[in-house]
Amino acid sequence: MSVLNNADDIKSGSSQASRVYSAGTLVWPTAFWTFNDPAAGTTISGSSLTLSAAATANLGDGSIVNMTAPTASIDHTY
Amino acid sequence: MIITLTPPQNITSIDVGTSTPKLGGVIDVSGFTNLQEIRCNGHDLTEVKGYADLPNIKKIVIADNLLTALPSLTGNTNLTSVDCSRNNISQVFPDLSSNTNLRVFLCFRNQLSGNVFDISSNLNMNHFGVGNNNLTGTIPSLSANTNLKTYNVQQQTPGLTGGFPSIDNLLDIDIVNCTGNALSGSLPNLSNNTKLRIFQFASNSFTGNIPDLSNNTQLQLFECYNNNLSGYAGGTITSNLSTFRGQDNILTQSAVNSILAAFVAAGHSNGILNLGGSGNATPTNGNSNSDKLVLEARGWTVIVTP
Repeated sequence: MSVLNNADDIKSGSSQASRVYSAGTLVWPTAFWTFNDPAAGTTISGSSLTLSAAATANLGDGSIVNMTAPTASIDHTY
Repeated sequence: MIITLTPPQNITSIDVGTSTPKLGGVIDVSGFTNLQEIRCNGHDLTEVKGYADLPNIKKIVIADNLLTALPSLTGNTNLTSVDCSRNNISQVFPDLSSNTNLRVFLCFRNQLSGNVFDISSNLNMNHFGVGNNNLTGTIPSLSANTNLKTYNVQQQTPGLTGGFPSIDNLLDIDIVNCTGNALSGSLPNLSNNTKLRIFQFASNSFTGNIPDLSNNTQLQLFECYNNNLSGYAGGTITSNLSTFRGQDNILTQSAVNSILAAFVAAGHSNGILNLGGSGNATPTNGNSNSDKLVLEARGWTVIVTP
């Protein structure tokens, strides 16, 4: 069994990996919010994040938000 | 479905806003080592975890969810504010003794059990509200909490017992509410509490006198109904006091007459003064009491035992 310590630039073939699962469990990146698949039209509104540097939000349905400091939002309609 | 935020250490505060319909689920902030504030109220979340040992966390707002437990806060030594009200938290009162920077702790409408936490180590506490839980025992001393502005332990089931501690040192106290317990003894002396606006000590077993309110010039609401109070210490009534509910006690006729006279002397219009219910004596001349008539002419609703 191989062990990834301080892994960086994880790829599957030539494709950048965005998530790593172990036995069906997401191990990277750590899940921030886990919920049942929402009904179509479900919204997140009024959200606000403060950042010290850029970060990325993966909203779970394929939507990616590239967030830049100092503030960002993850408002979204599923 | 899973939302991820990477890298978590770049994020210093999170307010997840509102979800419609509510998304529920679990939020995990472990790894957000620089997180100072998490606000995720009102989503029907079943768990919020991972903040227990975050060294930088200052504010946690997790009210109005479906949480059943509050993780230990002992590692959050920079914590200043927690609001976990209106969940299903069913456990003994959390240990807050290491949270010496805590200014706000609100845990209304849960099922906390055991004794009310002794906040004598929390010298910065401004707002402490744990009403509508299942807390028991006596209320610890508040004499060290000189920064306290609101203290709310109302409606515990089956009810807090013993006396209410002295609030002589609480010079900034604004709101005190212990309604709906099994407290006994005297109402506290209020002569030092000149910023007091709201005093709610109803539905307990307090005895003795309604205290002198002469120094409570900011007082707007005074509720001591449904106790065993028999007298009135006298003094003047502030012109800001527009609601006084003292019904269902055992006030003597002298006390009822004196309270009516004090409100007349205050000289203001339009308020509610209830000295009726069962137990209180009828004022001189009953519903024709001259002071009652004066107040009613000024727009007051006055209720006395006829």
